[in-house]
Amino acid sequence: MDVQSPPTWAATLTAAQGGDETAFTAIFRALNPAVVRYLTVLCGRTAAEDLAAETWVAALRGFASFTGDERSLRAWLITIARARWVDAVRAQTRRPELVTDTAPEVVGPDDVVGAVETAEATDAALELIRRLPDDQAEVITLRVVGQLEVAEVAELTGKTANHVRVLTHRGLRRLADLLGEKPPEGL
Amino acid sequence: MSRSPEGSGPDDDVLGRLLRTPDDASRLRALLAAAAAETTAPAPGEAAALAAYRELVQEPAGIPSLTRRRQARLAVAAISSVVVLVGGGVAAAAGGALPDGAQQVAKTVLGAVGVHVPGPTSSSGSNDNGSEPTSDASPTRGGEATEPAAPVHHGQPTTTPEPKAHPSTPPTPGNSGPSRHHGNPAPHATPHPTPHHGKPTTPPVTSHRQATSAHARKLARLVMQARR
Repeated sequence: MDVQSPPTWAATLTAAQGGDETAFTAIFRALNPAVVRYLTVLCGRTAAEDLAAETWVAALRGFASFTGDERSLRAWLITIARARWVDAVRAQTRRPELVTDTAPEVVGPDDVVGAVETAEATDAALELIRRLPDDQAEVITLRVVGQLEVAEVAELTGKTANHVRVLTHRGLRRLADLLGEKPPEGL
Repeated sequence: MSRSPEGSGPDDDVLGRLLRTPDDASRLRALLAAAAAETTAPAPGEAAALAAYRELVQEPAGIPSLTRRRQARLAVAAISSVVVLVGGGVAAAAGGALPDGAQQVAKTVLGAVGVHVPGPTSSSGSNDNGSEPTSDASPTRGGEATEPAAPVHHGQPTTTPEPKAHPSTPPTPGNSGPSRHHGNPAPHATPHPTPHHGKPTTPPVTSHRQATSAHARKLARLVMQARR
């Protein structure tokens, strides 16, 4: 992807901040999947797309003054996405009749395993991750999809670094159990 | 390999190794790779994001203009405030409504630029010299020093009564201008004749007033020095 190398990323970001729509599109296509997938694990596909759109709108307010690399921008977007999700959960708590509208779809375990084996179904993988307890699913998604470090995940979720490590460990073990295999060495 | 203090957490590099090791063809690795896989399909919400981006791009042209308009309004308001404050100060000085010290300073400063204002003791609220009566011999009603009651005769003594002076003209020293004491007689406002030569006279005042005037003159000198 073009925006991954530092010089190209800096040039792309500068161009996007200067009004280059093509550059912005490149940034969007590079980073939006991580945002959508993270939100998908949190709240389901349909709600995730809506919240991702809100995330970008909110991010654009500070986009012109943003400085940093691709990783920093991804972390920043995910932070905004999480805040959007928290707001949505609170809003649904105040309006319980809307909860059923965004109920996540449940995929059967056999279908999920079969799709994952081909390594083609990202959605199926995310659905399997969603079966984990919420905190484990979130931490693993942030580490794998968001490519965030332990310290960054800890800061984002308000947990300690050790807690993040424990959740990651337990989540991976559980995923391995769901896939019917032993966890890899070191877990 | 750095384990957590509890001993239950995985190595920080476990995920990295899990995703990087090509020989590890486990289902878990495939799952995580699928979760993080790149996509070439148009992302949902791209149109909305682009629309928001276009609005952002178009905004910078509007923001400065709004800022400029706001700055212009602020400048006008600031200038108006300064004019009102200075004008009000000059008017108060012309009416002799300032405290003694400030009145003396105003007299000195404004006198230097050709504006004559009464001295600190010039407005006693009465006119006993008989040479320059006004249409209203009493102090300003309610003690408000907003309208000087005496005509302006800079350096020219008058012998005939004249109608009430123009409100915008300051009284000469010694004229019975509006009281600075809100209608009450001043403690040291001893009536005295005024030569009307456009120059401040030294009124018979007490030592306290002399001290105040001296202080005011000193203050005026400092102000003049500061102005230079």
